[in-house]
Amino acid sequence: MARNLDEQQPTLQRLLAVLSAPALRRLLAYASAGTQDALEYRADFFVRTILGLTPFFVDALVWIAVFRSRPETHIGIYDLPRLLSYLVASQMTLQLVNSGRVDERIAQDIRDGVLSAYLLRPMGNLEYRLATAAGKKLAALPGVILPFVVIFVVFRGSLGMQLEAWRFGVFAVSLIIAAVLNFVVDYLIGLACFWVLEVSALFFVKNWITAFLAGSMMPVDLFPGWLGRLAAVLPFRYTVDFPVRVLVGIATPDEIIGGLLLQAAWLCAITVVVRFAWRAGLRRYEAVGG
Amino acid sequence: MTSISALGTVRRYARLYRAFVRNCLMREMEFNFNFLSLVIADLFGLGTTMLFFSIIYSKVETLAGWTRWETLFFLGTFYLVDAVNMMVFMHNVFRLPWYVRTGDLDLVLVKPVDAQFYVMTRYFHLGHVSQLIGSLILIAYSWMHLGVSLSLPRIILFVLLCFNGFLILGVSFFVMAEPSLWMVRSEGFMALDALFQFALRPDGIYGRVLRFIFTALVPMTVIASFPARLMFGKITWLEVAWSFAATAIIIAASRMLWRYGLRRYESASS
Repeated sequence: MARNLDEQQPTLQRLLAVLSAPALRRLLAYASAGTQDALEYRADFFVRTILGLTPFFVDALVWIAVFRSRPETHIGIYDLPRLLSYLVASQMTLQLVNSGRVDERIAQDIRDGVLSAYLLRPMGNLEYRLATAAGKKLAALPGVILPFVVIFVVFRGSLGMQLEAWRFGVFAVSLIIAAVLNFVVDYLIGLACFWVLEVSALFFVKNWITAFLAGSMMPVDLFPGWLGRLAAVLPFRYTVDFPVRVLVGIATPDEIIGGLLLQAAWLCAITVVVRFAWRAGLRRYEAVGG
Repeated sequence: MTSISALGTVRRYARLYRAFVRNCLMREMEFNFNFLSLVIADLFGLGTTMLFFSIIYSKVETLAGWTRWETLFFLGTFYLVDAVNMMVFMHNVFRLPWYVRTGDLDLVLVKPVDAQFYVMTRYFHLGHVSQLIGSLILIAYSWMHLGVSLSLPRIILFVLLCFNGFLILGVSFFVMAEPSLWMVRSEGFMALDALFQFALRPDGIYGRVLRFIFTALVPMTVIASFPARLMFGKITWLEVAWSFAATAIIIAASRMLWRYGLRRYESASS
């Protein structure tokens, strides 16, 4: 069976196989199918993004009130303009790294037994899902970015951003790693469905934890001691907080190099865990399916 | 005569609602996984908001005139109203498009009961009881630090305003769902869900324009900020009066939209 062959190949060999031309074409085919799928709902994306801006406005109002309620001009390293630009950029990043609920899709496939159909595809499930999600994301990109560009332009007087060309470049790189990192974390949560029947609680908890620890509600370096230490040792801050610090001009070149390395390290580590969990889960899946 | 028959109607519907609740409690005991996930999700929602504000209050003494305990009391009030709405209305509101798609609305329409009442209240969700308990603890705990005197009229008015907030919340979401009677999809839910975030912050942070918008046009501050401010004695009679008036307007609107929707509703299949 195709799947068994797939499973028996060493990981390195499979990685190389993915990079070979026919495999790449297959990936691109799935990606473009994802794109077409998403283009039909582009209007939907736009509405979603605009509505997705409300958390930023609500939090911005809270922080404006905070700065008005105290005599000092700074909280930590932030004055109000810099804090606001952090919040805008983090909302944008949060939407850009969103995995398209891959966790729920996988969980549903496992629960409904539909997974068998995917096992026959000419590539691993993770690669297939990633390609589809990447294609969808590409189509959604203009709709997601545009409202934020409008905000950046309209409020440029109140936002304290030092826009430098090289920061955009590094941001793009760290954003891609962040998106894939977020994707594999979500994928891993979805795989939990091999063992637990009802995983929606897990999704909720994961969403709340990541949203907070990633820095989507406030900058991670404003967290009190214990929470700051927790955020520092977990991978979530590399999905939002780090790319944002790069973009809005907080991260120094030293921090950027270290951050990119840690991002990549987390990505590799979690991908390995995913592979491991996938194999273990599949054995269980077969046992149940008979 | 009318008052007697009105009382009879209320009694009949109360009995009916008791039957709904009993029926749902039995169902919920069977699926306790689902119950557990609701409990965990609610407690995390409450936890992160508390964490957010505790970090904020480590930087300031008062936030737009609201002390730490006032904000905690407000959060308790908000989560109380939200919990009751989640238990009573919310899961039903999400079901409306489903009633339409499957054609089950036909079955509802022939029942000897007001169809809107049935659709809005049929399924009771005990799962959010953990949020209810959490919010009551929060209210009690923050009230002890507030040091405001309690009087019976004030408590009664507080309960009434909370109940009013619960009605506004549930019925507004239902209004957003009502177009699904004649349209395949609507973005109304998402819109209200987004606006709803403005109810989750003490209304002091809004400037004059925003406060007007979120009080008069989209009554979000009425949901929890008003009942909370009543307890600190920082509310005007006009605001209290408007709270009830806004609810009456929204209920009337939902009623009109419901009738309009039913006229345009075409049964699925057959």
